[in-house]
Amino acid sequence: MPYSVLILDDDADFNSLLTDIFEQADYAVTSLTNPLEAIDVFRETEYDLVVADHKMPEMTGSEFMRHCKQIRSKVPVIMVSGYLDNDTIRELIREGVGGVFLKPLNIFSLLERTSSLIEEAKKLESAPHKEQGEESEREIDAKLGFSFRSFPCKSTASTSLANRLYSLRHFRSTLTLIGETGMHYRSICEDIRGFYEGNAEHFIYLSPGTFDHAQVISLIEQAKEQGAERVTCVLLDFENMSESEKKLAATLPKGDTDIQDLGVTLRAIYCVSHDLDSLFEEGLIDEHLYILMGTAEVPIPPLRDCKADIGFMAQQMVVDIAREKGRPQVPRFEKAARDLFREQSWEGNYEALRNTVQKIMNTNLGDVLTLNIVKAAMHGNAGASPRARFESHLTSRQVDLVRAAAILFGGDRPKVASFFAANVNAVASKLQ
Amino acid sequence: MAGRILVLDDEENYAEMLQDLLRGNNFRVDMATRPERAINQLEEIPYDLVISDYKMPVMDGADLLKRARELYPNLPFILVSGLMNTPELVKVANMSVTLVMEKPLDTEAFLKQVARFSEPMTDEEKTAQAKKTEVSDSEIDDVASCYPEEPRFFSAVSATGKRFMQNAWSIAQTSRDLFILEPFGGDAELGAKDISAWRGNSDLPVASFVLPDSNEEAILELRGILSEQEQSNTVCIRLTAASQIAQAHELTESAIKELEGAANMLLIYVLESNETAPYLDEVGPRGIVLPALNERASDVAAYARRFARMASDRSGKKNCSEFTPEAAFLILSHNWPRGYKEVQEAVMQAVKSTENDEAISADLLQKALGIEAVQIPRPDSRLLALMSTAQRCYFEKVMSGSGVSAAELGRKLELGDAVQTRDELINMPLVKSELGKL
Repeated sequence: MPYSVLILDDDADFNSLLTDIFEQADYAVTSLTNPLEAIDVFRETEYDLVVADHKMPEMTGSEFMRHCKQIRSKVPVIMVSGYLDNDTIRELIREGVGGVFLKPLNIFSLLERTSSLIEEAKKLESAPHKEQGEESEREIDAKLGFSFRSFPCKSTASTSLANRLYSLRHFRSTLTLIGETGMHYRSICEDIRGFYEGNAEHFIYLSPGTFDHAQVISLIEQAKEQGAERVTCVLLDFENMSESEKKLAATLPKGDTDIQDLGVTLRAIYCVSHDLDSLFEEGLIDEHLYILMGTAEVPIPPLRDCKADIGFMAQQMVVDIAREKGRPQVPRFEKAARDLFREQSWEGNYEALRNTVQKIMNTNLGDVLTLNIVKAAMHGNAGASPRARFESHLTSRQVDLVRAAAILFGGDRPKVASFFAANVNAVASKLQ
Repeated sequence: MAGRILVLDDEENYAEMLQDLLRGNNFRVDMATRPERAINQLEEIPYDLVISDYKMPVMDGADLLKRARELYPNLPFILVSGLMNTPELVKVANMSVTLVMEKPLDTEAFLKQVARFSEPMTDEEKTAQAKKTEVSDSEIDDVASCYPEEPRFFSAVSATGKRFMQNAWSIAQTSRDLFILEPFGGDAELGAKDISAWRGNSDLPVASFVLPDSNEEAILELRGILSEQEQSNTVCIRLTAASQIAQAHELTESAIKELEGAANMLLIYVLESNETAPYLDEVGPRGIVLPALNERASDVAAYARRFARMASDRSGKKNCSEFTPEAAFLILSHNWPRGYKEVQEAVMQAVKSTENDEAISADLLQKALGIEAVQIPRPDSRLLALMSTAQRCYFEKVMSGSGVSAAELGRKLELGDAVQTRDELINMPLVKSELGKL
């Protein structure tokens, strides 16, 4: 089928000259003299190319082209004119003109340009659309819309944790946070506290071996004096509490009669480092607790699932430690050092990261924390047994393979996921 | 990740001004002052956008645009120029120039246009960049471990590739020579180009020659290169045998004594060999090993993608820059014994031989590689297959590097007593089996 061309020129002589040229070259030509009519025709019919005169009484060629581009932006437009000033040519280029030809016409090059424009447009049509890339995650960050400090939320896993906790902030009686060892449950709970304004909400923190019935009562009383209407008891390291502490803790979502007499509403957040089934099997929680804690479980992602957060977290720790120590300058990690942080698997999670950063800050007083400094600190930490080195090699090879697949598929994560028969979230967390 | 912009103006000041303006707005920018050299750069790096002056000696903006269009029919191309007459404007309009802006530039409008074609850096990329400037501003001894900007030629996406460039850069900053032991078909010369640019040579070409038998000859060659304004002061010298290492050490010393301009030179000696371990001692503390591509999967992927994009942009077969899943598996599982050059040849050949405008298939790639058909596993066992290969590579590398026996390595790695022979070791199922799944 011949390619179709729409010709628009109000000058009848010139119009028929153009029509002849294109018909001779085997194009199917529609020739029109009125731009308003031409816009309607263009809207109704698919053309491969448009040739228009610039100077017409109803509208200029530029205006006509703009209409065409709005209707179908991919169809190339060639502008033909007796005279055009330079500003107009620049404007035409900006609006995406396919070609500009001044009279007297060089017929040969006009036809040559026509065919190469059509060819290019056809190629583009069959080309795949550009991928959206990683934009969406950054958008999520911006959309968080509430304050969250315990994770920098640069990664999908931590962002969804933040959103989940925010959506659960009005939980009625219990919430269970389940993560790996070394998680910073206290900071996470402080974030939850931060979701509320005013003095009506109080959080008290209870660790193993530090509380009994009388102390809990006094803590709640204190909170009440400070204006608390509701008190949330956070039970840190719950599985390591003594039997009597656990027993007391089990009553906290409601409070026993003594506590109820205080006249405040109670809630409890249990923080554990193993899933409830295995805690139950190991006899660390009884059936009652198992059911109680199972009402609302929130998994806390391990650090290695929030790679993008790690560098920021480490930098934030540096800021905090520098402030604690009253150092005038806050040191910064260089990029290579932060990259090294990301590469680690951080089995000990937040605590391990915190220890490493603490160690670095204890021994280095400079303003820049380099790769070598960080390496030295980590070496001492990990002990770097041959086995550990081997495992960390394999772990980083796995991340590299996923990253490689992402590159090969142009950043298209669903494609990467189906390549490995995995789900998109698993892929996303590896890529951070 | 933010793409790159190439800025070209024969007036260095103007090019710098544009570069600063764009960098100030978080774009990633390369600058060039010679269009004839910029063409080389365009051939090697896929850019998002080119911004060029029109009136330049040797090659004007239209010539450059024409060459660029031959390479990449759809590359966005902005001309920023002083006065252009009507015939010139008509000419570039008919070459599909993307935009023509007049000097003096309306910066706001300019930036708005640039943003249509290139993505600025993310906050993370930006902080990394900012920190680098801070580091180089305050004089700290240990800046060596962090290179000034992402390499353009050498692909350092993988942690291994990054570490290599960091080490190379830290040596390059403090000494007059650097030894790179590269596997066959290695990409060390690309690294040399990046190091040259980081050392302030911008886009000056990096000379490369094979070390001749006598050092007098070599000195003569070096003198020619270092006195030439149009050459980088970073020079690549290829050694053909390990026995030349001692000669190379002497060459550096003589060059420092005898040559003017030696104070700023950097000689990068490259020795191609798959047996690197025995030579490391010989090259001394200024020597580093370029890891083989089979340890740098993401770098292989980046090269494959780069060449596919180039070849397909050139041939106008737009879809050929994509890979089918089977072809992707092949790229990830192939051992690449001939290195980076093998990636280049195979991918470009595969694109060339496609008859249809469609994603590169495993079949085409196998033919281009000249290998037997590879069994492509089902999606759910792909990662396990790739990771098992990675594990085997690790065992083989450690054994050949340290000379420990399979049994001894097995004990060190706590793999249990069953592992006695080499075969038992390298054929072991994946030790951390959970890494075989995502």
